[in-house]
Amino acid sequence: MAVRFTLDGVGVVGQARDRLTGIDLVVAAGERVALIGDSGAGKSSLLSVLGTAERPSTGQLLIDAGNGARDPWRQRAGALQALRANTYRALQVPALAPHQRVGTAVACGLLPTLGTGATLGLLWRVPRRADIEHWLEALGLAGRADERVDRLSGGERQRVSLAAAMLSRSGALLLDEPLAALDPARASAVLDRVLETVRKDGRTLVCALHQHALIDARFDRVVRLGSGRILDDAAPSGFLRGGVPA
Amino acid sequence: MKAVPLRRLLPASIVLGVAVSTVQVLAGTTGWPDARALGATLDWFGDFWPPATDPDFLWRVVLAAQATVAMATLGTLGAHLLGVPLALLGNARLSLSAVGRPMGLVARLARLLVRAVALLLRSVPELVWALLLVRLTGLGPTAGILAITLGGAGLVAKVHAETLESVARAPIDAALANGAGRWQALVFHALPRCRSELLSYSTYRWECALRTSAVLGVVGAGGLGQELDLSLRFFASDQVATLLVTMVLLVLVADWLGPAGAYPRGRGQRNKQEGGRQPGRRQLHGNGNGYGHSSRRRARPMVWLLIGLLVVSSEAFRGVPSWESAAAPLARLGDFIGDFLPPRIDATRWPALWQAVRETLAMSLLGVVLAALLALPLALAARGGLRRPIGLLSSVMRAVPELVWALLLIITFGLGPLTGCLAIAVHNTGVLTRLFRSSMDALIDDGGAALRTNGVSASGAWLFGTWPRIAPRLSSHLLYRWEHAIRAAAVLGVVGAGGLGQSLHVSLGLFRLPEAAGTIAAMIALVMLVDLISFALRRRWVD
Repeated sequence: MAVRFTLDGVGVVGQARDRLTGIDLVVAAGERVALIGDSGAGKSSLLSVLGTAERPSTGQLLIDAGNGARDPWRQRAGALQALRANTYRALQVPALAPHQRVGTAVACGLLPTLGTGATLGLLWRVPRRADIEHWLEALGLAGRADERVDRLSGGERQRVSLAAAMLSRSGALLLDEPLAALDPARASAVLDRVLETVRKDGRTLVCALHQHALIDARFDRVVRLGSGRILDDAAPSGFLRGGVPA
Repeated sequence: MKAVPLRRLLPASIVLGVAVSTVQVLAGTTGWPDARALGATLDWFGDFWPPATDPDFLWRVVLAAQATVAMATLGTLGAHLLGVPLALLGNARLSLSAVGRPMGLVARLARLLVRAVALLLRSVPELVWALLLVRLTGLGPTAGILAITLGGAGLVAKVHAETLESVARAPIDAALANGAGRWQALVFHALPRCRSELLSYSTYRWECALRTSAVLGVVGAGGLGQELDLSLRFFASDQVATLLVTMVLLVLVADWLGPAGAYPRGRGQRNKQEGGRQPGRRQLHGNGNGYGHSSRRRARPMVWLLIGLLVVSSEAFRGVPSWESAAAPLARLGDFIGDFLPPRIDATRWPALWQAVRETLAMSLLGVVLAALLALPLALAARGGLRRPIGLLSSVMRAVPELVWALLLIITFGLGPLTGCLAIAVHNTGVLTRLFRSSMDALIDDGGAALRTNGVSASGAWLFGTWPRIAPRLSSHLLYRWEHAIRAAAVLGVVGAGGLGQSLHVSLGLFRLPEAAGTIAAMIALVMLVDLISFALRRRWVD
């Protein structure tokens, strides 16, 4: 079920300066949003707020996963966990365990939806091999499901983390620079696959990226951040190719 | 037939091995503790309180403790006198012939020989060395010192050589290529880069030697072990209690004095990837450049400590009338060795020996697995807030050596491998709890947080976030303890706890010396086999 986010004056206090200030933003269910901005503009902070990894210092976040808008930070532990399972966030620097097999690391994307028995089963056998293989192939890691994660390069590890995100069944996907570790030709192809899958499944997508040239009509909106504030919020047609705002 | 990948086969074969071990250990037991045995146990441990405190006995304990410290100190010193030259000869880093080309054949063979000697020295458990040497030197600490010297030398040679080889190759090769001699390269290029590691291993060796020397007396090599053996023979529970407390205190003091905190490092340099990151108790290894500032600061007190220990040790030898009489046994050395050769075992004794080999292997494997199963929840509980009580419990468990645990457990569980297995399990539970806890402490990013914010349950996040990160370290510790346990299992039979030690004890008692030599050969083979398996598993699980 696609997820709708409503942010009302959200701010996050940082150590030196505020990382986010007064963010008012509505992401509709099934909407595909590109998040751009310079490094340090607040893209990752916004994604971690949306992914309920970080509680806003000020303002309010409401998440509607099809059963009414709720403030995740006022829910019981079980309900919070269910909301979190519905907003999958893929980290920019993936936290992968060095000795894990690639297949297992990708299958970890399924964990939020697995019960205890299936979780224990994952220790022994990797489920949904075909889906995993599909995404590994799409990301240029075909046939490497049985390799150890620490045998991969940094870029390859990031792609493993993206594959895990794509395998998850959450209503919203929050991707933090998923294309950073891909060469330009492949980046375009991967983005195609990601957007196609998201559209087909009717999932909400918020995707931070630097490759402005790839932002086109496949996205519904482009939100530009700067110094923790929203600078622009428009349809992709409002941006010239090359990413300079019109 | 479809080929089954090794990583599917391995867990199955480990489960099978543990199951077979369990059957083996249980089959060898004389019987489960019945009401009578439990009653005897209660009586025996009931008399522990109050511990014996009469002045005569206490004075004997003090002298025995002094002899124990003396054996450990002089033995460690001897181990270095013998082991350091072996390490220097055996390591490949200082080879002149290997600069800029493959090492020459002669140099290679010479190094192989040196390494084989070190391997042989460390494959014979120290207690076995003591058991043999007591026959040469007579009862008393001399045998203990020599036993610790020989066993320790093999370890010092191995670990110090590996440490030297872990130093970056380029600067030393450059020095040698520029015409520096071996000694110059060693003193000015190699040692400054690994001094603190060498020093910390040497102090760790002393801690280990103290634990060993506390039990060597059981076979007549003097010190606390001999007093313990005596008190046990007279069923003097209160004296046993006093001796146990002394032993635990001594080991705890050594634990506290030893600045290396070498415990978490497992076996020498093999855990290189942990060495840097995993903070020891006193953080001696932290500085990656190898210039041990912290060790430099600590060097002076350590020199004084060493001098103090030597004074204490020399005091322990007032009883020895003269050096001539102490050196006399050396003259008999040739005959002594000749009596054992060639190793020979009657065909009728083969089945018994085979049985003993399987029992030994089973005791070590099951003991360590049990210890790991107990240590993991204990370590988790220690992190969950019960740090102090569990810390104390694990200290006491590991301060009492396997052999002493076996002596105590035999009262309840009788003769046989079950006692030996439980003794190994109890001691190693203490060690592994400590090692597991410090590995968990050292883990900074446990990867579980990222999973939890994506809605994974706490247990799922632990299984797929935290566990895969600590598992390599835990298995490294587990393998290291198994290598230790096989050596312990080989000797526990000396006090009746099953396995090869029992055969050895019987053969020596009946003066069937070639047969004893054959049993020792079996021990060496078994120890080497376990080391080999451990090495192979380590490459899969840890590196």
